[in-house]
Amino acid sequence: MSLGTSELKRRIKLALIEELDLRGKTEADIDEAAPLFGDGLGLDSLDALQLAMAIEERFGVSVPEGEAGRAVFASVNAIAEFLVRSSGASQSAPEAG
Amino acid sequence: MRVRRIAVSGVGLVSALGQSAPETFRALISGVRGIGPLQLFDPGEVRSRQVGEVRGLSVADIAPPGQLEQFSRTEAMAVAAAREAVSMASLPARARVGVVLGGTTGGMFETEGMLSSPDLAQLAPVRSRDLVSYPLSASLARVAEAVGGATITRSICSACSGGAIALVQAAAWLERGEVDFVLAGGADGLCRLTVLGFNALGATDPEPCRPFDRTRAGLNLGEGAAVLVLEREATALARGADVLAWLDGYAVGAEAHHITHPEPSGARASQLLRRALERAGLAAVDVGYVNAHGTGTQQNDAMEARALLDVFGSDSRTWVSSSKAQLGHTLGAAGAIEAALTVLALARGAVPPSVGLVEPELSGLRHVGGQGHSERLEAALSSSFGFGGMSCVLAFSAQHRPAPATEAVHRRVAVVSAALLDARAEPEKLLDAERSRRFDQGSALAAAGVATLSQPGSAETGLVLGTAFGNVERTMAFLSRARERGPRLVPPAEFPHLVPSAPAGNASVYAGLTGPVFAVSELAQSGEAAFASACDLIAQGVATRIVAGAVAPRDAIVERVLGPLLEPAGFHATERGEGAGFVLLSELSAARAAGSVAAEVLGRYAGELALGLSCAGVPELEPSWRARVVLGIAALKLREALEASSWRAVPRLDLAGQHGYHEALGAVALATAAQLLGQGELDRVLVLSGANGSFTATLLRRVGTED
Repeated sequence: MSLGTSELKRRIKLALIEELDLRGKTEADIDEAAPLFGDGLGLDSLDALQLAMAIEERFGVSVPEGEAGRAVFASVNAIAEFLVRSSGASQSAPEAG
Repeated sequence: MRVRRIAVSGVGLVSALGQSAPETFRALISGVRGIGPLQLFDPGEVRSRQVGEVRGLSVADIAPPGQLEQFSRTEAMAVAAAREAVSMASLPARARVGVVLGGTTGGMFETEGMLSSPDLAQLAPVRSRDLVSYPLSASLARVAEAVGGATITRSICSACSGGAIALVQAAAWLERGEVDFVLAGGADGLCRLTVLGFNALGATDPEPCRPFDRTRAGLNLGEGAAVLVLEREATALARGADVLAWLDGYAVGAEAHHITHPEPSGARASQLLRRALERAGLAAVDVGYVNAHGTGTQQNDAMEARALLDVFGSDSRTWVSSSKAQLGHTLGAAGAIEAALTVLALARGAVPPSVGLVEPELSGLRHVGGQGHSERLEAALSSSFGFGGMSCVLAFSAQHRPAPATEAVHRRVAVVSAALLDARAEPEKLLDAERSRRFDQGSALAAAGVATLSQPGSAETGLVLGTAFGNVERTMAFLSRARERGPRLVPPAEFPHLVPSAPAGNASVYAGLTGPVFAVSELAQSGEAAFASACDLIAQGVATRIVAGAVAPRDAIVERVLGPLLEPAGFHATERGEGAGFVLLSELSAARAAGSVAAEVLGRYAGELALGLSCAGVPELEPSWRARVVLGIAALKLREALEASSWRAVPRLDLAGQHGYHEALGAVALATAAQLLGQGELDRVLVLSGANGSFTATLLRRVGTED
């Protein structure tokens, strides 16, 4: 079953909140275009590692290491684009939930 | 006054390069790599299996008869290293000995399977006895037993610098005259937790590592132990001991930057390098060799190279190498192992190599080649920079070098303020949600405790935190998850919070504490131990202000299994409690100058319960004192000793009765005592804790405006 883009972004934001312990934040608090690292959500490279693991677990897609990975994590929109680009991204992974 | 110099008179080593100091050092100088594929267990599909494993370690040959079942590899390595060091030093029989060891995972390898199994509730008492090697402090008892007993012990955890800080603690005990010899070192065995964790962080190199090389790609884990015998110069000279080198200087401090990343400029590291040199009376030009931390990660080595260039300059004659390319990163043992290697380099006039280094990233440092070489050295440094920025630099002088002109001065210690957080406290509400988002209850208690203390001024402040177990529940959840979902889905951001020093590191980063930061682990007496270590650091002039405290967070595994199993003997436990206590300590004259003193630490005593309080030097009660006694862990025998002393009629506060039993109770007792004195109605408070046949006492005195 294909996921709509807005549903995909909602799931990405949910992953961010749960995996990065963003206490007190809701999906509405996360700007889809804003940078996740540095000034935006204030995340760091430890968060990036955690997020890469979570995306592999939840969406069945592995995020490349290094510069390419950094580009994927630019924003919620960038993660969504990456997941759509990767094969099977618009379908949720079998175990994802 | 004669300069009190600390002699190193023996070393013992167990490493991937050999199971003795001579074997390890010979292989080190020859450029042999002890790195190879992990054989001890199968970690599954991980980024790197390259480790420095101690092959052929026979726990059965090291453990005393009948103890094999409950003896971990970590303990076996510590005991083997201690025996070798004691034999090299020709330690006299029946000497007054202290034991202090750094570590991070204790008996994790032997117990992690059992503790992370889903049927923990069904753990039979017989099997649960095998868990006695779990806590970091377990090795202390083993080493003490192997050398005929110890007067004082301490287990130190500061991620990867604990083994170095152990030597600073040893120097403090010797300077204070608490003991005549200290076995100081560190021990850490490989385990699933650290192999999975460092791989999840992407911090490991799939190939043998290359510290300081432009192409370096991470560290290789290792395991091992080192123990050094330290004694005062006067003792060494009087008994004609062979002095291998002098521990003349040291510096301990933190970066307060990030829980895993070093502060990139290396500014704090270079400050500590300079401070260690200054204490040792050395100029940079006197230093022939630096045994660097050099893990092989991008960030550590870049930071460290900058710091070394800053201190030694780019045309320096000082050799720099990291032994981790040959031994792996042995975490809590690394600081001690590298200190032992630095001592041997001075004693034998041999410079260890820079194996794996082809093209340095920064030019200017004088790296060694693929093999070591002979050279007479005047002095050498060994530096350790742990996760969370917890750092320590040790400065050794060669045996032939005259003593530094500086004299050891014993400084007096004051309590500035105190804070208590009990079971009803909601520490997370006192903290900024964003900056504390990954904190567990232990870290939240530590950070909130520090934040609650009144701290006028912004002087460099440290944190010594008692944590008996670390977060066992969170650790086991991490391991269960790895088992269920495989090593690729291990949560990397969890891992840095699983080392027992995590609450100290987190609080340091949260509150900007840049003084000495580490955790101590002494089971029921973790609070008293933290207080004692903090006082020692101030007394020996390593720090001016330190928060001393302990946390005992809620933890189902501690509550159900480890707590009852390791509860002190002769103590009739009331129900189990939880909580934390903190005091801000300061050098007395600095506190006076800042206009804030609640009490002075007048005396610290330790002894055998059977011999009574006065035997350990606890002063007799004077009739004019308005006094109180505060009891932490109070075994029946301690109450008897109190009844037999001049303090028997003094009103007492029994904290175990009020708060239930927990491992931070000693810190709660000390904070309570400081608060009582701060109210201004009492002159003296005696804080007492005792169990398992021994006790500690602290006498606090009110400091009024008239003093």
